[in-house]
Amino acid sequence: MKNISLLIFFLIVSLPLTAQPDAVYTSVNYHTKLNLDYPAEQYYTLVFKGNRSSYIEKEYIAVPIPNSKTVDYTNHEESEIFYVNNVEKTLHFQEYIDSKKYLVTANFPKIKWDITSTVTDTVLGHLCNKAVGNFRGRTYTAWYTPEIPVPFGPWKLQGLPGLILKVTDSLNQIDITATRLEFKTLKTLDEKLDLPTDYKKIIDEKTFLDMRFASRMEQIQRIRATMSREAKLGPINIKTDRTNRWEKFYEWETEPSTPSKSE
Amino acid sequence: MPKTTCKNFAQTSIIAVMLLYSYFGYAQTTISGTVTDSIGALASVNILLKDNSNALVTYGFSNVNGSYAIEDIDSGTYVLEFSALGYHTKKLSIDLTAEDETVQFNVVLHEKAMALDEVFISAEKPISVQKDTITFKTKYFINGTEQTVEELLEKIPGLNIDSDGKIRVGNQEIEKIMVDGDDFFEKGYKILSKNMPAYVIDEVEVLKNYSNNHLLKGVEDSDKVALNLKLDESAKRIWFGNIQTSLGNDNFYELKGNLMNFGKKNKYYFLTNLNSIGKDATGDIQNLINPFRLNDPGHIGDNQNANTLINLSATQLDFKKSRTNFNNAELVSLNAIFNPTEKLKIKALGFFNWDETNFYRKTTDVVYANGTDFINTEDYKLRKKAKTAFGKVDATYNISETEMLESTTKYNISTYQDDSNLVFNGLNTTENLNDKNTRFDQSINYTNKFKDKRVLLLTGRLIDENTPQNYSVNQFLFQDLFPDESTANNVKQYSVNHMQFVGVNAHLLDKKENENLLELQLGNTFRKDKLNTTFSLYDENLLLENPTGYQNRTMYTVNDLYLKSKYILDLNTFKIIGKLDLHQLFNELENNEHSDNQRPFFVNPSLGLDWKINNKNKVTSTYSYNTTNVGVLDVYSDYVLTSFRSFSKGTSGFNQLDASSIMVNYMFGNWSDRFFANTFFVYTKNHDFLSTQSIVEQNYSQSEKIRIHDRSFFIISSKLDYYFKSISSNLKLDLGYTKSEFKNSVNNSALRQVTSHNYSYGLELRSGFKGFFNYHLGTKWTTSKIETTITNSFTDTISFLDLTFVLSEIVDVQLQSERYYFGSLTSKNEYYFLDFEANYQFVESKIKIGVTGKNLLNTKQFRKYTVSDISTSSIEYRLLPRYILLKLEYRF
Repeated sequence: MKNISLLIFFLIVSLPLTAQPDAVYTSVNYHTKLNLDYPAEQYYTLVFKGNRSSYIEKEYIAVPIPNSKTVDYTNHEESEIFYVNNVEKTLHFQEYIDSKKYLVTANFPKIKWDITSTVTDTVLGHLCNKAVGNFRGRTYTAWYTPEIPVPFGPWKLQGLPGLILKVTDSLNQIDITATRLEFKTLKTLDEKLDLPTDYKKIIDEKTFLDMRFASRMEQIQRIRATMSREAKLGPINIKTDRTNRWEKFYEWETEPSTPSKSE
Repeated sequence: MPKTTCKNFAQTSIIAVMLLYSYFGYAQTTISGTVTDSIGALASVNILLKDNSNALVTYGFSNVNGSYAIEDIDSGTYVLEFSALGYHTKKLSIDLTAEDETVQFNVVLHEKAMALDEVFISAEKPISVQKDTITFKTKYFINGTEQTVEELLEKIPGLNIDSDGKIRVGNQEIEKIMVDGDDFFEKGYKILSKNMPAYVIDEVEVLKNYSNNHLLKGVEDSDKVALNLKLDESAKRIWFGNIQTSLGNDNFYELKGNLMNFGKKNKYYFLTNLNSIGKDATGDIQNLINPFRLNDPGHIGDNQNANTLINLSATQLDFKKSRTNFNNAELVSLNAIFNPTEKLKIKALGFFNWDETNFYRKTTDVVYANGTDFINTEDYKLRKKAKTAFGKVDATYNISETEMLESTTKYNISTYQDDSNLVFNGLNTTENLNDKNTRFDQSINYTNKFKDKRVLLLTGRLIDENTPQNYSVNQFLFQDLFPDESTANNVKQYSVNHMQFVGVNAHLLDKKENENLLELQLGNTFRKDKLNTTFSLYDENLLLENPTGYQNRTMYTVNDLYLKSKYILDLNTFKIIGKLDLHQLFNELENNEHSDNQRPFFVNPSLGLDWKINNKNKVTSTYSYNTTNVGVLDVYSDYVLTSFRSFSKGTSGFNQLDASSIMVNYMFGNWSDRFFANTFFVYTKNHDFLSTQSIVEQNYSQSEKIRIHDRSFFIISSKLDYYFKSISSNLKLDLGYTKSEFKNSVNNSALRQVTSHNYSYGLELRSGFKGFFNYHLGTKWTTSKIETTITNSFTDTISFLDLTFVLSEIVDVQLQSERYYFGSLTSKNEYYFLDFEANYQFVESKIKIGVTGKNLLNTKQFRKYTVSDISTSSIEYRLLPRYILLKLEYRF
């Protein structure tokens, strides 16, 4: 009798924790290494359930000299979040200009992925296939795993028949790698899957880029005007060269090399 | 029907059928269908089409209704795979033939329980985040016309450079300027910022919460700031530099040369600066020779200096020293950093500075002193010749990752020869002062980080400094003091202060889990001062007398055994800092064969509170009670000559002086906000202090230090910045009020109260236009008032207008104009100055030419008015006249 109850006890204790898919969401941590203007590292978390995903900014660290930790001086109060809805085919992101939150609607990235490669790799314990695609002037190599059959991925990259666990670009300036993956119950979700409602305005991406440029210009002018007497100022030189921009050109631009005002 | 038509029709039909057959024969199939689960349609399901070798041919997703369609598939055998998260994958083997136009597969997927306790983690370690550096992309702020790093740094937002080159971030002075992570000069950074060319700098980093000692990073509570200049790639590991020569009228010239090589292992920086335009290229030699580092663990004895009794000064306030500094200066500085092994770093620094300066001043003093009224006039011409040689070797050895040994050896020799020609009340007087200063300074520091957040530092320091002075005046103004010496006609004084300091200190820092910090220090410092002064009366070269009461043989030793403790309580938005210092002193004083000793014990507590109310509002406050032990200049017993007509004497006994102080600072916003304001006030009460009891006569004054109760000092200051977007201009408001109260006695009066008030209001408007033109104008009023038995006050105004035209990256022109108005002078109280500079850079070339004109309105002197507690004075200074320089710069 005692043995049976002990056995039952052990069975109950050793039963794996499971849940129905409806009550589960997935959380993936990504570590981004950038080498655009200067080396920087970022941490993001991708959460998704069903047809929607949110890619949420966690930390930003720039490391120009060893043994020092640096932070860009334009600190956001809240995070940058990208919202993808795979059924409605929409991409939104929340951004700040002058400390005010805006909800920006972007063209849904239609990336023609080349999936013909048979090369495979293992990332984070999952077997991944290789896909190559172009988006806004950069060629990305994405490693996706059909073992997690969702079309999501980091940043604005999606549309592959499997979760993208690693992305690099052809110039070796961008490297995004998943470092942690978990399935969790909805009760523990405190990140946002729904679009925010506390924004000042909804604007489209081109308008957002123009507004952000104007706001940065104004901030520079303001800072120059607070200098002491010994500082002599000259005209502002804006480098419009895009080689160190993540997105090198946008769909609405006619020629890729037109330096629009967008930074 | 004719036979041919039939045949044609058949042929055509066969061709037509064949064509149709081929069209259908190589037809591509569309695979479509719906995907559902037990409840209903499933959207976003992965549909993969794989061929026989399991390679992925194409893929699609189901839409919101669960329907999918995959088009243009060639005939063949495939595997059609349906997968979705939380469902079992379904695979179908399909065979597409040419005839199939569309094939339909509707699929039902079955739920699969998802495992929740499986976590996939990669082996990568996350970086710990410490938000303490800000990087500035300088490209938005510079225009390429910056000559030196100082001019480059002036343009970085948040960095303020004051008129003598001291660099601050916010209110905090920077510790050092590093170049690619290596530091040459520590607090003496001005020599680098004033000389190093700006064009080699790519980026400027502001490192906040900086620790001089890398083992203390993350442990000590530091609000120190350091700058790191990152070199342009093209400037690394090669010899580069520049030479700049400027020549003008009347022997005005400037020659600057820099030669640098910044490699990974070794860095070299040689510079030279010769000029006669009033510039001080060392930027304050004292900071190079003996920097004072407040609250820096591992440093004791920074504030220990020998004293000099006489100083023929050439100082004036109000505007740029370069306007009154008639000089001829030569500076050569050789600096190198070697890294012979991974663990060892050696820094060698040496400089030689020769400077000859001339200074001209005319003063009229109207003196009211209890019972005496007189007017003194002085026409003062001073020539100072200073020679300084300084050498320093720093060695840092990293014994291990947690242990470090540092040693610093410094040696300094300076000689000064000051001669003045003075017409005092019509009497021709000359002063000669010969100074020599030799200083030897050795310090050793051992740091051991024995636990992750616990550090122990052991420090030792030895200083030996000697400052002999020989002073002579060729007049005898002291008949009233020495009535018996009727033949005396000149005086001499020999004085020397020989100071020896030995100190040892053990410092423990322990940062707790909850971010609280405990610091304990146990140490002993020993300082011995020998002060010998000999005052002699001469008749020509014949020594008449060394009068009694005017000779000192003083030896003063202070031994301080102390225990210092500090605890920082870090609670979210509050930070509470508590300090308690215990001192047991052993004092010995010998004054002209009279000895005394004393063993005072005292406690110095302090309490501070920092409150970060929110992102925009921050308050810091401190209360402290301090007892200080007086120095050798306060304890000697006999009179000493401190200028051609004044004597001074100490208290001839021990003294400990108590003071309480309270400080509050409130900051609203950040410097990058549109509106930024900072207000602070300080109130200090000295419960005991050393004031003076003086006799003031026309030809001489004698002053004796006496101990008095209650002196107070109060200052409140407020600075505001507001940016007007409509005119792209920033308005700065600077308001301040200082009040100070103390007592003294003049000409045997009772103790009388002296109150001084100082009000200042300043207004500035500066543009931040994007284009080639920018303006900057401002005005500042200062009112000073002194109340004793009478009240004297005056108001001065300074206004300026600067215009900048940067026509392109090649040409720029700057115009600066100033107006000074000195209230209370009845005439000649308004002065105007105009300076300009124009530069032209030859495109693609290493050559740049320029023209500089200073004081174009040729204002030769200016007069100002000042008050003290016994006099009102009108002072006239001679200024460097108009000069124009032609400048040529060559970079290599």
